[in-house]
Amino acid sequence: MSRDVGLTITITTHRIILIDEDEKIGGSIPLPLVQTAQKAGGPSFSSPMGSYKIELSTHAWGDLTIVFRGGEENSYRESIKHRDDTLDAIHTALKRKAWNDRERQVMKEQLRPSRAIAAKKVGVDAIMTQNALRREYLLLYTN
Amino acid sequence: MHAELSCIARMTVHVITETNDVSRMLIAITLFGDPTRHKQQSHLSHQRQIKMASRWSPLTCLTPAPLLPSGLLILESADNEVETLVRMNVELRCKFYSRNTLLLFFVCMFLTLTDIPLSYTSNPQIMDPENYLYSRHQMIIIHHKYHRGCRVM
Repeated sequence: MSRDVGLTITITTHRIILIDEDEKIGGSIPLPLVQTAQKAGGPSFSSPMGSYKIELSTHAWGDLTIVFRGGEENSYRESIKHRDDTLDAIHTALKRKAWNDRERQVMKEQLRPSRAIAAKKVGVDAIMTQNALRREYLLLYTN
Repeated sequence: MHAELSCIARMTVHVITETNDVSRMLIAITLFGDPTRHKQQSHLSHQRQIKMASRWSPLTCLTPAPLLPSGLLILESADNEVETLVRMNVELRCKFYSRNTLLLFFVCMFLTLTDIPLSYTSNPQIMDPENYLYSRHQMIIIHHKYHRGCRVM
């Protein structure tokens, strides 16, 4: 099994990024390609000091394992906290699907009633009607 | 799958010597990273870039993440990407392609693509024509005989 050690993990709304700060190399796993993320490892009867892990099942790279070594202090107690925080962040990002935001906004914009009505009008009248309807729409749906 | 293929594509196989005996065949596989992978890190010295390009690891097989010369991460502001968590001292492991696995893959591929005489030795006493393994064994021999042009001894 091949591995990279001493990495920094960054979770964003779109990606899981791993950076090797010594070599200045960064690799990212886009979250849409992540199928599942689940807990693994931890102490067991056979290995009482087993490392805390996250197992990622991805469409592109198969199964990847992220092992937590407890931050700069290399503390075993910290590593479980780091693992759980990271997993929560991944699950939140997967649930939110922020990478679909732009598409959602475009769809929403197209479905807006003001566009359909204003499309029938031309010139300044169209702009004024569109603005008025947009204001009404925002007042209606933001409150 | 894409990453796996791109990793395999980065490999160059050098056959040093080739004999009819498979056990004496020497195959050297040199792994090269993709040099374009590190194009954005122009601040690094040429020697270091070569060192990095020749490095193979799970991290180098992931999608490249653009970094500033200081090593800071560049987020995709056009997509409103936001950083939510940072943790240090982690390890990345992947299960599927170690160097040994790739070596085995290329040896198998080399054997398949070349007409190397294959020899099968079986004990006739354990050959049962109704046994699935036996029939499969025969099928392999037939396949190599007629499709690959291999000499079965």
